[in-house]
Amino acid sequence: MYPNRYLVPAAMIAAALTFTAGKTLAESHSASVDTTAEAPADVEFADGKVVFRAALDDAPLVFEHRTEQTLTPQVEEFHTTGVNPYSGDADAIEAGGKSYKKLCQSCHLKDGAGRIGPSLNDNNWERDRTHTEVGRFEIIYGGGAGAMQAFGQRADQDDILKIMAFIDTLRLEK
Amino acid sequence: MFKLIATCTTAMLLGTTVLAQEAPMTVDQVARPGGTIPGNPEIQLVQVASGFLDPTNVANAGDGSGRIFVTERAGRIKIVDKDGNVQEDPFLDLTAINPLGSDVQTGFVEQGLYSVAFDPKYSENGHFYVHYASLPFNGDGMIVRFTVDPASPDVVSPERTNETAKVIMRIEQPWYNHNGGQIEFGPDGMLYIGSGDGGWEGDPYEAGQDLTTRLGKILRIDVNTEDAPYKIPADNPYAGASSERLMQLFGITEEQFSQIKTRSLPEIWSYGVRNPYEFSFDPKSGDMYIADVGQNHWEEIIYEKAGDGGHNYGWPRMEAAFCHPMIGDPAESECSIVGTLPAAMYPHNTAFPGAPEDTTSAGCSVQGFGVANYGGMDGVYLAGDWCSGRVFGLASDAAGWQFQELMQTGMQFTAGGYDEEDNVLIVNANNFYLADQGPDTNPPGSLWRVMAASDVPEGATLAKQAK
Repeated sequence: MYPNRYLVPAAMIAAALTFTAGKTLAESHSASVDTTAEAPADVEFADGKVVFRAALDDAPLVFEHRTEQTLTPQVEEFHTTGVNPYSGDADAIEAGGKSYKKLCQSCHLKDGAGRIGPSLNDNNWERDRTHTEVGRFEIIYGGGAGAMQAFGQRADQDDILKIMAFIDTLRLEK
Repeated sequence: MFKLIATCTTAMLLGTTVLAQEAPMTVDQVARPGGTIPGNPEIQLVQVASGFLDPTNVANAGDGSGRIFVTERAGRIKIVDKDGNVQEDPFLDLTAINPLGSDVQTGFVEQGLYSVAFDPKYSENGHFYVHYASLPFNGDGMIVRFTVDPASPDVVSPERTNETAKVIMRIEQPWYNHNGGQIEFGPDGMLYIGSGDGGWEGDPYEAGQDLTTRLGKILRIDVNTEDAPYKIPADNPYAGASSERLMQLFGITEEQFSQIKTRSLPEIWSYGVRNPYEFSFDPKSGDMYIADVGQNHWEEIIYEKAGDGGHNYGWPRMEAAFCHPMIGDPAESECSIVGTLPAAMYPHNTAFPGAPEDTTSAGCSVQGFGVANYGGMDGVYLAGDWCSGRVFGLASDAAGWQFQELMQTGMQFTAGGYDEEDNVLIVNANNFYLADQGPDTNPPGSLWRVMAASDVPEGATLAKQAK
């Protein structure tokens, strides 16, 4: 059917995360790894809640997917603090790893090195906000460009937070 | 020469310097992102309908009904009416015609129902044609004609499907990828078929340059016959290539010798393509554009003047305008161009092995949409990218081909087509290239119409795009 390659260049769908036209990896944001309390410095708050933004156009993120899902206390906390409560939680990381294998691994590879999708195991972020947990949540839940779909269609917000906790470990393992 | 002078004279009389559209002669003439197409049009993608499971293509019947037909990968065709309503019962359901299960192989994401084409005389004969990966035939491409029951114009029952099935062609597929897919009637009434190189990577069969295989080709056949699956159009480039003849050894030029291709298949229209999943005819000029999906580094769009068959588009000797395989920066290597160059190309994030990553105007798989002749656009070929969600426009001006990124969306484009008014339509899906879990398991995709931004109706749902 559509894309047609056996092995795609490592950053083939890095384009999928490239919303800032003309931006190269060299220009992209780098940040140190901090999986426990990443300060959401670039994140806005309103009425005590995080203001989430769509990765594609920076418009307010609409929580339109899987509207029947249960918003766990951890999700509620994340919406309030912008910090992932599951970071470093062994059980959550294990659960997130299972979801990662099912939803993410085919494009980003087992170790997060990237193939169809960009690498996740370093600190180079195609979109500035992705250096924060809020930014990573935004792009997973609401999607980026092209093949980086809105995975909020496939996973509950609680699962996404667990996936994020697992992805943190990929950066630490590298 | 006289013809050229006459053309130039006419252009001068008109006060313009319009160059005839033609394939580039040099690599520098191959357009890359960064150009501006005439009129610098501003477009929007307006949602027509949604809820399609892995939509793969879109077409109209040309019968005045205004219906739009969306193919779903699993093997169904859905009807969208004039008002954007999607009929619940499929027009065609290839998952229901075989008592043992579906007739469609969907094991890999490149497999499934690829496309539908309606006979130019559909209003009279009810014939339509589909191309799909056959499950019983291990993924071989089946091109089959069915005939609608006039008493049931919106649903072809499984019984009717089986009763009227006429197999036109089976294209053997050695591997599960690079199956081509598009079938479409040209302005000449012939059925054109996009046939990929058979898969794996690097074209292991050398199919693109092998005139004895249907793989890696654009095929052209005449389906206007009941006596055989199809006829060979007499003006196909190799229509008579295999006919028996006496051998002549003297008084023949080398060029004439080189044209003796006794094993060439008569169905071949052009060759040297890798995976022409989508191609389109300009409704106005009849010219053809082929979105030929590239390998590791470049995507290409081929231009072919109406009726100008016989071209070698290079694969696997060439990847877009560069020699294949790429082993480094093509600017630092020497090689001869093989065949006809594409009109435009765009890179992947790494434009050659070892190149620095650059996501500017990059992508991974070109998906052709169609040619727009409205909304300030005059012969603009539109295509999108599966990975990056970008939409590109290709057109020519006095300076040559221009290739412009028109927008970047959040969509995973699969294909395009036309409605009955020749507006360009687009479908997008939400599936995985690897580890896809089935054509009916993915979040649904949508059908979009390309419109000039100034013509968008109030309240329309628009595709989101990057700022």
